[in-house]
Amino acid sequence: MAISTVLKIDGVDYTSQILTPFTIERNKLWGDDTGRVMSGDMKGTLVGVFPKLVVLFMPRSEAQLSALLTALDKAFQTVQYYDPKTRALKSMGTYTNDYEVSIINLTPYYSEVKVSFIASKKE
Amino acid sequence: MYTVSNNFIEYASSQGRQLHLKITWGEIVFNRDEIFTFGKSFNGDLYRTIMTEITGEVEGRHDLTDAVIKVEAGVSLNNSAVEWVNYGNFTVSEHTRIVGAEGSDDKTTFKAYDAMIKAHQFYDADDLTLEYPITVQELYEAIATHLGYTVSQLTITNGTMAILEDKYTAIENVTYRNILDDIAGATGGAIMVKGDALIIKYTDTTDFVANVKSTLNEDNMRSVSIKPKLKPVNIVNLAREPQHDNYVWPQDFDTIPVDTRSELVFANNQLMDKDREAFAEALLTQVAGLSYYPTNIEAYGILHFEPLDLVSVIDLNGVAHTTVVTSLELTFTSGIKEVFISDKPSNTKEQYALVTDKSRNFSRTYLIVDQQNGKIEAVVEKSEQLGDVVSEMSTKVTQTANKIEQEITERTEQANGMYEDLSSKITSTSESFGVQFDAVKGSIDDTAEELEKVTSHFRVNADGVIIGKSSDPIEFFAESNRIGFREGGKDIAYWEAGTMHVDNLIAIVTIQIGHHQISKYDSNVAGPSTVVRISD
Repeated sequence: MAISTVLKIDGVDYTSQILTPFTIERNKLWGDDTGRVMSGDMKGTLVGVFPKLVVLFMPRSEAQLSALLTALDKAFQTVQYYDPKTRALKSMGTYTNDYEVSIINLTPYYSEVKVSFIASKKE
Repeated sequence: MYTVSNNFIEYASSQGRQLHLKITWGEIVFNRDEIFTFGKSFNGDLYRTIMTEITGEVEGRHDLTDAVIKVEAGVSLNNSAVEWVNYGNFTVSEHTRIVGAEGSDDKTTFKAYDAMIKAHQFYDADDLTLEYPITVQELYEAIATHLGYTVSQLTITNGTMAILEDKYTAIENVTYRNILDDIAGATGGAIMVKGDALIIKYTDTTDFVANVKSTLNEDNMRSVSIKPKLKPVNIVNLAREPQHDNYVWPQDFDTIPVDTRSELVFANNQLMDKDREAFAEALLTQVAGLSYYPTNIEAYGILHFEPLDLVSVIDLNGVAHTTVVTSLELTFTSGIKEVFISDKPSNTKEQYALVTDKSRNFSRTYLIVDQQNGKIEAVVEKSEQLGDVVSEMSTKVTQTANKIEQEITERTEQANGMYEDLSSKITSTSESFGVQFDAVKGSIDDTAEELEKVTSHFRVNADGVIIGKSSDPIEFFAESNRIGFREGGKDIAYWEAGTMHVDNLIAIVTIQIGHHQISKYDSNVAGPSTVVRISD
């Protein structure tokens, strides 16, 4: 069954502006007590899984690009993404990394924008 | 140990465990996501009171004044249900509300203690309304009742021992915790709070059998250091310090081989101080045989230990070592750091009684401080066994005494000689002085006699000078404006203002007035006559 929605940012559907592959990283954060015990076994506290979405945006117009940049420049976002684990849209609070916007020609025409959305709380 | 499930034990020590924490006060519940830091620790001893402290930092600003907070820690594994351990309630003693850059950055830090904190108030005899004599057990229960604890232990070591008087009113700044410390010492256990109950925890290593909850091995320890084993306790010493006034039980402790002696010293315990002979035997029975390995352990997954829990530490060679958890520090961060320390009892001494008895013999007089009655009593104890060192000191003291005596004798003889010489000189001087004094006195007497004569014929008064014996009727006088003779107090002849006044005048031969001279003339013819002639 095809997926109708892959990503929403603060309630706005960006599915049509996203290039594939849409990458979902399942990053595990280990506690500072993680290390080896006397037997040599590795032991530690699993603090949690903090999903990270790596997304390539290709806005279809300068207006769409402007709206995207406005959303990305906020300190945090509420993101809904398609979670293959639950096979449903999943909501999470995120922050974003640094990103680049490249102007290709003076039409103007822009290249794609690559952004990572990182969960601020464990899943 | 705290009550925990077997799943808790398994999850806590597993790789990939997930930790949970819950802090509750009133309707407010903080889960791990809202708790930035949390720590739990105690630093205990086997024969005193023990209190557990927690510290933390939570999200938001909260007024925690006198708040009582409940703390629970949990573990889960692979999304299992969380297994919890309840650490109980803690009373906040201090907290700080911190304003962040944004509202979401606000936080509150706090420090809180278990219910032993209630014993941190000054003792007041009126609080307990006790009528002495009472027993140790009665005092223990009275304090527990006053502080709001329950007591379930009906029999405690030395609990029936009598306390004849109020031991603490006369001592300044005594808290109920100080008294509980003394009770702990007298009963040979540690006093702590569990739930709402005050308990005395006895540490008995002799019958300890470890189970899965009390075993540390290579799978749940990151590091361990094991120190030499505490020799089984076989001596108690109820000492008065700092004078080293020891009461040692058994009294024939010196028959115990030196290398097997292990002594616990209970110093300045007010409950036992005046009745040490009565307390000592039962106290030794309680603590005798205590023996374990002091250790320092960094563990993994041990969240259920309480003060003085007995633990079996199995080293990499598979050898088990019994230890006692005297101190603990749990620090929750992104994981958790767990440090357990097992120390010897702080009142453990090596050869203390023997050593201090030797030192005490140098000074046979020492003091007993009767803090109840505010008296200091001098006690002189005869030392029956003097060692070589004492003998040597005694010889030196005797030699010094002889030297001092000889010196005093010589100085006394010198002083006597000086005294006699000085006495002789004083006598001689005294006699000479007497002779001279008599001479002077005679001279003064003569002078006085002469002076008396002068003063009887010559007198001076405010008018002038009078010459003439005071007892005679006639006298000469010279005054500022008159000079003359006085007879019977009347001036009979005198010069005044250039004129001589005479009441009666007799001229024997001649008298001249101006140019006329009147003279006596014995005429052959006329017989006795008077002639008047004109003179030059």
